[in-house]
Formats: sequence, C-alpha cells, structure tokens
Amino acid sequence: MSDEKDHLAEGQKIFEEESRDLLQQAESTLLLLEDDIDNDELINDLFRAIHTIKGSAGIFGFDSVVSFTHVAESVMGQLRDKELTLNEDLMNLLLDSIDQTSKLVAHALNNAELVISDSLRKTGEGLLKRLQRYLDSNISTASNILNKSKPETFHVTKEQLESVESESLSNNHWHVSVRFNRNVIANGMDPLSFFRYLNTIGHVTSMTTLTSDLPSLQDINPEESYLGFEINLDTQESKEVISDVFEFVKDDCQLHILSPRSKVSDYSQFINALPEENILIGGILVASGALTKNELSEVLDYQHAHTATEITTHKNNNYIGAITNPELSPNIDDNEIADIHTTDVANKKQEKVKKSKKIEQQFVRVNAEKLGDLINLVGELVITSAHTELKAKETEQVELFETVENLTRLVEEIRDSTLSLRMVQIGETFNRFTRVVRDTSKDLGKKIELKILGGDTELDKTVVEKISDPIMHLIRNSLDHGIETPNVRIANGKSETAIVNLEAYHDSGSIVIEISDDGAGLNPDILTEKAIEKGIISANQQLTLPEIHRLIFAPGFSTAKEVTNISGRGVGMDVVNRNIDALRGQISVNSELGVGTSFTIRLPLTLAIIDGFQVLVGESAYVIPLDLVEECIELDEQQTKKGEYIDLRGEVMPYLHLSSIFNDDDSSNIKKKERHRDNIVVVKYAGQKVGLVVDELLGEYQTVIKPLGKVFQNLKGISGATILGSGEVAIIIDVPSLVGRVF
Amino acid sequence: MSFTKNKDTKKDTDCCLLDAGPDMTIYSAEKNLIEIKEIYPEFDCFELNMSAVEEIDISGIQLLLAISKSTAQDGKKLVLSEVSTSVVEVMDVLNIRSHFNWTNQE
Repeated sequence: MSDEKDHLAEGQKIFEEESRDLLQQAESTLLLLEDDIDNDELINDLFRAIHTIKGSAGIFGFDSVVSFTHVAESVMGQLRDKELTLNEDLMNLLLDSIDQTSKLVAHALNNAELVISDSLRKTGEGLLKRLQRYLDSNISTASNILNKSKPETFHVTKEQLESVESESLSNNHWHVSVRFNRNVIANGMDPLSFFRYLNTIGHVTSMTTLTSDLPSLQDINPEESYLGFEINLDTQESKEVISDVFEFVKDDCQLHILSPRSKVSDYSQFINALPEENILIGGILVASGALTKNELSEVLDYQHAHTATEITTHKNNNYIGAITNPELSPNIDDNEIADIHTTDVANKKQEKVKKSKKIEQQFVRVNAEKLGDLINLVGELVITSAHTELKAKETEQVELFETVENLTRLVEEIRDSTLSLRMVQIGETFNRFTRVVRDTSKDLGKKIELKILGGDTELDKTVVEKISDPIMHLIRNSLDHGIETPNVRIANGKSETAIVNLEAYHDSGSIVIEISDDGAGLNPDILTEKAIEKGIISANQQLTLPEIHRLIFAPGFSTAKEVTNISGRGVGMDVVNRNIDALRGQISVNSELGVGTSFTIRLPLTLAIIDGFQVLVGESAYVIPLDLVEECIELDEQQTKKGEYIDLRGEVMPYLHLSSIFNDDDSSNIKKKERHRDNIVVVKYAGQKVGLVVDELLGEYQTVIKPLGKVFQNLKGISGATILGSGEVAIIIDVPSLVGRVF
Repeated sequence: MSFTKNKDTKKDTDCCLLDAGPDMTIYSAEKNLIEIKEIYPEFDCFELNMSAVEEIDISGIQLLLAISKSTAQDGKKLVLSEVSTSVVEVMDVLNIRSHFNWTNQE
C-alpha cells in the first residue's frame, strides 16, 4: 500500500508541475489574445491547457478544481466555436479564473483534507456566476433551468445537457466503444475512473458492459482486464475532448468514437473494427439506442455487399487504422470520410499532429540536484584533465601527448554541453511581467505597454530564478514612480500610452538585461534633497549626475511621497542592488529628466565554469575571464613615462599594474630585471577598456570557479579561485570591479 | 480475509453464505479468487453478503461477474445480499445490476 502512496505522491508532483506550466501558458496565451483576438490557434491553446488541467485533476479526484475548470473550459469552448467573442470583461474574468484555478490546485495539493477557505470559495462562486452568465447568453434552451439552479456546481451543466437531450434526436449521441488491454489494471489504472469522468463532460445515456471475453472462475486471471464497454454519450464536447478522457490509457486500450448522426458506412466500419461478432455489437447498438433495427439491417446489408470487393477492404483497413488510433484522428468523425482520398489526407494531417506532439514532448524533467552534482563532477574532470595534460607534457612522449590533447578537447565539449543543460531562455520569466504590467497599470489608471526583446537569450537557470524578483521590483518602480498619468503625459507632449522596454542580450561574456521606460526620469534635485535629508550625503557634497542617480540604490532611500502597495517601501532598490551583487552582477542607472529612465543589469553567463586566460604576475598565476579579454599588447617603455595610461591606436586607455594591486611587488621587481618586456592584457567591460599589466601570458585555460570562503568574500578585485593542473591555486580576477576602480 | 464462510451455513446442501471483505480491489483480487475457488466446488448455491465491502474496483466487479458466469454455466445459483452503497455505485456506473440476482433489490 505504501507503494501506492508513493505512486500517488509522484503523480501529484507531476500534476503540480504540469498544472503550473499549463496555467502559466494559459495566462500568457490570454495576454497574447488580448492583442490578437481572432487568433484561433491561441484560443485552442488556451482551451487545451485548461482542459488538460481539468482532466488531470479528475484523475486525482480534485473535485473542486474539476468543477471550477469545467465551467471555465465551457466558456473557452464557446470562444473557440465562435459562439462568444472576447471582450475586456471576459478577458479579466478568464484571467481571474486562471488565478482561481491555480489557488484551487494549490489547495488540493497541499491541504486537500481541509475545507476550502471562505474567501477562496466566495471568489470561486462569484467567478462561476460571471462565467455562467456568458454561457447562459448562449444557451437559451436551458436558460430557465440555469436560472433556478446554483451555478457553482456543474450539475447545472448536466441538467442543461439533459434539457437539451429531451429535444434532440435519439441518435444525436456520441457512441464510444472501449476495449481495455489485458494489462490495464496491472498498470495501475482503474477503468471505472474514466467512466466516472466521462459523466462530467456529458451525460452517459446508455452503458453496456460486455462480458463475452470474461473467462470462467477457473481460468480467470484476477489482475487482467476482460470487460468491454459500449457507451452512448450525450455531450456538446468535441471528439478530441472525449478521446482525451482516455488520454492516460491511450496505449492500453482500443478506443472507437463515432460521432452523432454518422453514416451507415461509418457504422459498418465501426462494427467491423470491434473484436466481438457483428451481430452482437449490432444488438448492443440497437439496445443502446444508437441505431434502430432497420438501420442495423441496412448497415449489415451494406457490409455484406461491400466486403466482397477488394477496394472496400482496402478502404476499410485505412479507416479502421484511423479509428483504432483515435488520438490521431481528430477528423475521423467527419461524415465525408468514406472517400479514400479524404482518408489519406486526414492520415497525413494526423501524422503532422503526431510529429508536433513529439517535438513538444521531447523534454526530460531532471532533479536540479542531480544536475548540480553533474556540473560539480565535470568541474573536477576539467581540473584533472588539466593536470593530466601537464604531466603528459612533462613526459615529452608525443603519442601520449596527442591522446591527452584529444581527451582535453572531449572534456571541453562535455563541459560545454553540461553547462548548456542548465541554460534556459529568459523569455518565460519575462512573459510573467506582461501580466504584472497589465494589472498594475489598470490599478494605477495608467496606460502602459510592455515590450519584450531578446526573450530567447539564454542564461543559467539558477541566475534566472534569482533575477526574477529584482526585475519585478524595477518594473514596478518604473510603473509606479517613473511613468506619469495619461493626462500629465499628454500635457508634456508625450503619447498617452507609455512604453516599458524589457530587453535581454549577450555582451562579451555577460548577459545584459535592460529595463527602460519613457517616463518622467529621475529628478536630480529631489534625489539630492532627499539624500541630504536622510543623511546619506552631506549638504555640501558635490556629486556628478551618475552619482546622484546611483543614490537610489542607497539603503533606506525612497522618494515616493506616499507608500503605495505597488512599491515605495524604501527597501526595494537597495535589495535589488544586493541581489544583483550576489549574482556577481552589476546594475547601473541612466536617466534623463522628462525623457525616461533605464536600468542596465549585467550578469555573468554562468556561475560554474568559464574559459579563462591565464597570466603570471611575479610567482603567482591569475586567471582573467577570456570573454572579457580584447587583445594583448606589449607595454611600450616610452609610453609608461607619461603616466597610468597609454595611447591605444589613438584611444586613451588607462592601465593598472596587477602586481601593485595584489602586492606582488617584490617578486615582480626581481623578475623585471631579467625580463625585457611587460605585457598588457586589454580587457573590456561595459564598453570601457582597461589594460592590465602582467609579467607573462600563459594562454587559455578552462577555469572551474571555486567560490571564496567567508573570510575572503569581501576582497575587491577577486571573484573566486581555481585549481590549476599543477595543483596550485590561481586567483580569478574580478574585471568589473577593476574597471570600476579606474572610471 | 475476504470471502468468509458465514457460521449460519449449516449443511452442505444449504446455500453457502459468504461474507465479502471490505476490500474488493486489485490488491486483494488474487486472494479473493483463491478463496472463492476453494469453496466453489463444495456448494451449488451461494449467497454473497456484500454489506462489508468498502472498496471495489474493476477487478472486483470482474470477479463477481466471473462467479456469476460460472454459476450460470454450471447450473449453480448466486444471489447478492445487502449490497453496500459503494458496490451499488460502481454497478450503476457500469450498468450491470441486471447481471446479478439480488435479495434486497430496491
């Protein structure tokens, strides 16, 4: 039994992740739809996402989720069928419904045994009423019943269906035929749950359980499945929805679905496709009301006449092939299917669907811890391989050295692909902000458009997770403080709608994230005044404009006169700055009064292994991140006399002696006498070039970054350490902080 | 224990009263089958008291249907009595009430 619980917990975990992804997807789809109302594909995506959540929730018996999503799904279904059009009210309603679903899912997963809290229930009831209103406006036949009944349960929908049923023709039902494979029970599925679930998407008007395959007591294997089921279903849902009910057992059953009012030929082929004798199936169809006796004899006559010819057999096979794989045959209920050409076209289309599904499913969920272990191991592998290479060089055996070279190349490739495993596109994180901007701008009565650029830029997943909050804060700040109200904007000659740009791109080994707006900009006078008032600067301190702008990152600095619930608690920018620092990143601000503000965040691409450039200063080895290295030049003795800068092809470039920064003076002085030249490594960071004077260039080196211990964490100019092949420790130079020292 | 011979069963000629246990799911299917197979040849008539059944799934239903099928083939008799609501619910989902003889038919 504990095994069962484990499986259940595992299943729920998958459901948790899946539903989170799907809800996220539904939300962004909705937001896209806002600008592209007639995009059928988006509406379909939306419908599918909610439908899948409902289906999975049904499997786990999360009734609260199922009953809520059922109604939301019906509304989306009507959107898809063009019975409803999307307007602003409906958009808000659907967004709220997605939020509600997410809360219900969380409740079901975390404390299912507790009663749903009053506030959650009330929100749910309110939403259901509003959703139901949209449904009511469309189903006039059922409107009387709907008004009387409680809208929050989906018995309503059942009643609604029943009322429609009484008016519809007797064969206006779907016919579903299921034969489970023998092993379905052993695989942990209970067919009963699918039938119960079928009742939630429609009304089962007739159910026949076939026992013809059931062995006697002596021969039965109690863990195998022998029963067959013929079901008549009255529903407004599509074939896809019906076949989705059996999604979890699609490989473990034969499912045939016949649409309402199918042709005689369709019934004939359907009967042929079933394992039982034709007459038996025919009888069941008559008994369940799917066919009248006359119709059945017509079908059987048709069969008799047609099975004789080869062509029909061929056609049948095609058809049966198609219906035995219902997932691939969304078109098979089409009444025109009898034509062989149509069938071919449909088959091809289904293959396409299958292919695209395959692409979607080519993901493997991996525990982040396992990935972390792998990356650590690869780090060790890189160090060991460097060591091996060094030793191989010492032996001076060419063959050994060649082999080791190959090994090193392979290790490099392994390193790159391992690190890329953790790389994710930042777009998903960015899209989350669309909703924030939408909701916040409504709250504030401002018109704001969020433009996202470079969403496909990749960076380390751990970085993405940690950068989300700071970006959120910057955006909220920009919305709240930066952007003016529409009236002010118009008065200032700006367009009514403000634009917030969110952009990501790669720039020499870093990823840059820019958040810019065309709002009011930072007012230097107010900033200075505030900083003096808060005691951050003294009254007679003279600051440059960039320095004034940077004041907003000072702890306890908040310029908003009122504390709003959007931002303005006076801790934000300080925390943002510290968060980005922790990621070895930097944030800068650039603002022009009346024109706008932009924040630029620079982050290292990865936190684990980098390509380094190894140099020697005195006796010590240092590593400079290779991505930041522009070029290496000789330090001209003549130029050094002019001061701490040189003329780099007409450009003034400051330089630093690494030996003086890291106090390696003694050794370098001795060396200098022996050496005839010094080298400058030109590094570039955030558009600024700085030269680093070193004694010797050792070349490229794969560098595994080992974080510094607590004692050394506050050292400036050092970002970490690494272990060289020889076992010695080399310091990794923190180029951004050195560049900052010069400018 | 799943199928227990009730004490009230007096002689071999009597109808065998069997009490079904609370679990008629896949987890007890094998055991249930062995028990019923053991006792099946001894009697010609069976009354299954289903009042204690708390859980039943498709394997339990199959077993009931298999007993019913075998008794019909062998000219024996099977009746269900005091069928619990959980069993009734499942039977209604599958619409198989009519496959059985009931003593307390509603």
